Amino acid sequence: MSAITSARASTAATRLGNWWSRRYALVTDSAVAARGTAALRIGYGALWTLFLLFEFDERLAAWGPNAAWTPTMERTFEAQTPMLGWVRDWLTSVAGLGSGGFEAFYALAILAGVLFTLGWRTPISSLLFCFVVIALENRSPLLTDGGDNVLTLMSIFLCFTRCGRHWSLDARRRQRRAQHDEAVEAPAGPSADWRLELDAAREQIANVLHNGAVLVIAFQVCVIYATAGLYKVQGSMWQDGTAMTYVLRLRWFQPWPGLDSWLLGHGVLLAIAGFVTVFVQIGFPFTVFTPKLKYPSLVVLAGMHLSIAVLLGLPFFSLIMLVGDAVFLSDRVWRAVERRVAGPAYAENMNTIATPTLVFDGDCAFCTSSVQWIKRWCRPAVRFVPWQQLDLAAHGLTQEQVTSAVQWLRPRTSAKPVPSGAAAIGRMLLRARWPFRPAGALMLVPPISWLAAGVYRLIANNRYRLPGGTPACAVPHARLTPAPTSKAAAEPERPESLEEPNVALDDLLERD
Amino acid sequence: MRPWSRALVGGTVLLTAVLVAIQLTATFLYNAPSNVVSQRYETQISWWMNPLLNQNWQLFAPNPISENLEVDARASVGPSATVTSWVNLSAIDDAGTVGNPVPSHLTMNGMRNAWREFAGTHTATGLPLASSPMAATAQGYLENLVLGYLRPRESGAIDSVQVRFIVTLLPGSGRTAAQSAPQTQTLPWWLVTAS
Repeated sequence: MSAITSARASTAATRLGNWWSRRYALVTDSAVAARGTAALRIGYGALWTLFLLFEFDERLAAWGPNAAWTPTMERTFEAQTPMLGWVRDWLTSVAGLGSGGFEAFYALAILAGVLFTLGWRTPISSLLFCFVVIALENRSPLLTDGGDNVLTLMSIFLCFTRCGRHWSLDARRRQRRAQHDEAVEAPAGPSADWRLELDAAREQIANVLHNGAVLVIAFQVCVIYATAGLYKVQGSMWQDGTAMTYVLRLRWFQPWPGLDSWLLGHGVLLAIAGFVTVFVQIGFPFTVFTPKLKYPSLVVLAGMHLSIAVLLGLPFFSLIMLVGDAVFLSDRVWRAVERRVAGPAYAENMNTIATPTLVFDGDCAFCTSSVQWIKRWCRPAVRFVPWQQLDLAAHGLTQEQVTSAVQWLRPRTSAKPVPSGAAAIGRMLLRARWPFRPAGALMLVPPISWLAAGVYRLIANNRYRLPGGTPACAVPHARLTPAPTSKAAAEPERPESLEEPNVALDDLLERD
Repeated sequence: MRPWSRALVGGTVLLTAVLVAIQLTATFLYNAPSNVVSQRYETQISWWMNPLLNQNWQLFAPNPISENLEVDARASVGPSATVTSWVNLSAIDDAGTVGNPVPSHLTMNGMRNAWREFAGTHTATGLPLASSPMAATAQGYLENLVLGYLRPRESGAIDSVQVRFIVTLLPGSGRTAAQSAPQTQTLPWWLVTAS
C-alpha cells in the first residue's frame, strides 16, 4: 500500500518538476509578445513625437522657463512628496533649464521619440525616451491628463522589454549582420568558451526581464480598465444612463458642437453606449483572457477610444490608451499584419519547403532585372530560380517549356499542366504584398487573363531585345557554378524532393 | 550551461519574480478602495508608487463633470489704474477648441485644472485654506495663467488682476431651473508682482 502511495507521490513530483522546467524554459528562452511590445514602442514613440510637434507653438507657455507653472512652483510641488534625491532631480530637471537649455531639451525630446519609434539601439533609446517623457511630463503636472499618465508608466516598463526585436533598425542590423556572417564565412578563431556562455546568459536574462515587464504592462492595462469601469459604476449618472449626455455638453470637450447636438438627440443610443463602455471596461481583465470574448471586447474598446478621440477632442489621450491594448494581440495576429504591410517574403521564412518556385530564363537580362525589381518591390513569398541552374528532368520540365515562358512549380504536387507565362506571374503576384496582390488576382480572371497572356507572349518573344542588367548566368546549358560555401555546408542534407529546387544554388541568387 | 551562468540566470528569474510580484500587488492596492491591507501598508505602497508610478484612473467617474465653467478676468492697467472690462477667458479657449481636431494641452487642461486646484485649496470667498500648503502655489498658477491671456490684450503694465468664476450646472433630470442658474464667484483683487 505504502509502495503505491510513494510511487504516486514520485509521479506527481516528476510531473511537477516537468511543469516547472517547461515554465522556466518559457521564461528564459523566449520573449513573449515580442511583436506586441514592438507595437507599443512604435505607437508610444510616434504619439509622443506627434504630441511634441503639435504643441510646438505652445511649448514655452506650457513648459518653458516662464511657464505659468513656474520653476519655483514645480520645486514646491515636488517637495510635497518624499522621494529619492535622484528622482527629485529627474522630475525637476526641466524646471532648472534656461531658455536655450529648454529649446535644446525640447529638440532632444523630439529626437528621442523618433529614435525610439525607429528602434535605433533600443536599449539606449528606450532609456532616453523614458528620461525625456518623465522629465517633461512632470514639468507642469497640472497640464497632464490620463494619457500622459499612461505614457509615463509605459515609458518606464518598456525599458525592460526587448521591444526592438521586430520592426526596428536594430532588427534590420541584426539581419544584415547574419547575412554578412553567412556570406563571409564565420571568423575562424573560436570565441572564448566563457564568452559564448556569457552571451547565452545575457540573452536569457534579457528574456526574463522582458517577460516580467510584459506581465507588468498587461496587468497595468487591466487595472486601468477595471478601475475606470468600477469608478463609473458607482456614479448615479452612469447608472441611469445620462452620463454621456452631460459629457457631450461640456464646453471644454466640444470641438464639434454640431455633432454633439445631433448625438444628444439620441438619448437611448447614448445610454446604451454608456452601459456597454462600463461593462466592457469592468469585464476587460476577464474577457481579454477568454478566447471568444477577447477580440469583441478589444473592438468595442477601440471604438470607444476612437469616438473619444474625435468627439471630445482628446486624440492623444485616447490613442495612448488604445496603443496599450496592442500588447494583448497574439503573435498570429501580428504576423498577419506583418504579411499585409511588409509582404509575405518578409513575414515568412523563405526556407520553408512550402514556398513555390518561379523558373525564369537566367540568360535574359530583362528577365533577371525584372526578377530583381519584383523581389525589391513586390516581395512575394516565392523562390526565383533560373532554369539554367535547375535539374529540368527532375522537375518534369522540358527545355522548350522553360525557354518559352516562366514556369510555376508548386510544392508538394506534380500536377499537370504546370502554370506558365502570365498565369505564373499572376500566381506570383498573389503571394506578393499589397497592392500587388489584387493585380495578381485580376491577371488570373478572364478576360484580363487572355489579354495578359497576349502581352506576355509579346514581351517573351522579344525579351532579348529589351534592356536589362547582367544575366544571372552567362554560361548557358551548364551547371558550372560550385555550390556556395558556408550555408550549404552548414545545412543538413535535405532529401532532394521532386518539388524542391536546388536550395544552395537559389541562395547564390539571393545573395547578390 | 555552466553552474555560474545557470546561477546568474536563476538569480535574475528570482529577482524579477519578486519585483513583479511587488509591482502587481502595489498597483492593485494603490488603485483599490482603501481597505485593511492598504491602510496597514500605506507607507510602503506610497514609497513604491510615488512619484514615478503614481496613477489615477477616475476618468469621467464616478460621475462626469456636469457643469460648465466660465472664467472672466479684468485688470488694473498703467499708472492711472484704469480698470478694464471683464474678459471672457473661456471663450478664448473655446475658440481654440471648436473645429480643432487636436486642441493643445494648455487649452484643454490649463484653466480647468487650475480652477479645480484653486477651488480645492481656497474658501468660497477666495481666501486660502489654512490647512492647505499648496494654496499659494495654486493661486500663483491661476494668476500666471490669467496674465498669459490678458497681457497680449493690454498695452500698459498690469498692476493687479481680478478673477471671477461663473459655474453653470447643466440641466438634467432632478435638477431644478434654479439650480441650473449661473453661480458667480468673484475673487479678491490680486496685486501682480513683477516677474
